[in-house]
Amino acid sequence: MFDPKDLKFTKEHEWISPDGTVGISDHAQKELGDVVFVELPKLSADLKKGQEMGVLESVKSVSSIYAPADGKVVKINEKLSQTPELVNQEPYGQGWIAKLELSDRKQSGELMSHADYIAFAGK
Amino acid sequence: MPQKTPFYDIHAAAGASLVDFAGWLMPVQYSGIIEEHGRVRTGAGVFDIGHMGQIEVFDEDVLQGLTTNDIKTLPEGMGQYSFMCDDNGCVIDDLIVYRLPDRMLVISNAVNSQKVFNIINVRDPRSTMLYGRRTAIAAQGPLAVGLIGKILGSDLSKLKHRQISPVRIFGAYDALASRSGYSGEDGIEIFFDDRAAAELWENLVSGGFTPCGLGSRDVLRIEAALPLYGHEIDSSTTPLEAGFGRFIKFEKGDFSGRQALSDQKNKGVSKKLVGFELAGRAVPRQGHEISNGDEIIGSVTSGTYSPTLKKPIGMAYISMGAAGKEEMPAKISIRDRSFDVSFVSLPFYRRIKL
Repeated sequence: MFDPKDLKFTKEHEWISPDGTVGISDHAQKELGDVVFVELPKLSADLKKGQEMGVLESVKSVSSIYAPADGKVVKINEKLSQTPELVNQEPYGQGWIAKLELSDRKQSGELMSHADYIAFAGK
Repeated sequence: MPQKTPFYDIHAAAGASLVDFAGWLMPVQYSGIIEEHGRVRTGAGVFDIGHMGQIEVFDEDVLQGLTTNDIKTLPEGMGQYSFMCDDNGCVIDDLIVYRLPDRMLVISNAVNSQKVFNIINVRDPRSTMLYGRRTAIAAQGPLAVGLIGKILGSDLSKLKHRQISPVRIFGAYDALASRSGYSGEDGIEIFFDDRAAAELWENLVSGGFTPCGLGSRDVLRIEAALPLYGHEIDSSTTPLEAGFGRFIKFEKGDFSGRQALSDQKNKGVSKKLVGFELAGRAVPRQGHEISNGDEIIGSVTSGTYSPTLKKPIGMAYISMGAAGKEEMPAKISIRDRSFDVSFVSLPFYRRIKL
């Protein structure tokens, strides 16, 4: 379980940890509501910042997950295939989406801090 | 500015997520769509339906000429499902019409209320729109009728389906209770004085009702294959195409849309509303296209993930060329990906009547 204060956030509501783990914010999971399907990225896919790396289907809407930084997918959270509700239950823990091996560490530094994100998301 | 029902402050204080729905600030969810859905299927849930139009009509001949069902056959104290159609036979709104001792009460969709009222009011100037004076809740679920009867101190279990009866709320306010709803479960809808809104809601919640939002209401009605204006029915669709011919009474005499509907009945419809299930991990939504080979045969009107069936389900209009051949291999395109669909008979969910 990550402490959100250690994470960086995008305007599209993803978070990324210093070790390259990616998920969606607590605010985003609340907005989406019950997640019923998670489409994960492919292992070892090379992603560019802003590229779609997955899809969350909730009962009421669908939302893309975008790569917060350039990187290669080195782990995916297979548990979400059977228990997508983890995204709602623990967005900063067991609800993580994938782990990236970042090609440029500076990129995630340019993202929002938790405090800035909270102000941005208006909650 | 969106309007607020008399329950708005309660929703906001409870932390429900609120959205603008048809010009009304309404709760989408309280505890969560799947949780609320489960409570209504197995227990009791309460919905704010104060956004729905309540229109009192005094001249029943006006309604008879504006709606497809036959009001003359509607006994006092009962309600009927009906359609108001335009000259093309397309749906202006779907309605519940109740016969009260001295008037008719018409329940309309929020999005159409003003339009429906204007059409009625030019023909019956005494007709009244009750927004701002009367509101409504829906108590739904297998335990709902018993629970609400206990809370109001009057046995409502004798009411028949769509029967409406006067009831007192906490000794102070006259109200109407109807055995009806929009969830596929047993339930009661109460039409009552705005001033009693907070007291009734709080008594229901403390008495065992789970507060529910429009999100779970939509999932419940899709499972029960109940139509929603703007989805299965709209200004380009007739009740015949939607499969509701039994609510059109051609023999009653003239009514708005009769000629067009009669022509269509004789010629046959060109599209048909069907149900389908999707094999795969995606949720069908309005506008997604259904195809057979290279040919697009239909379009989704509503879709959801069904917590009851634990799979994605939807309703769609398909062309008559395709209807009747429901075993054909059909696919749906979602997010540039293709999924197999199998057509199934509606509704997806039917409660077991005891």
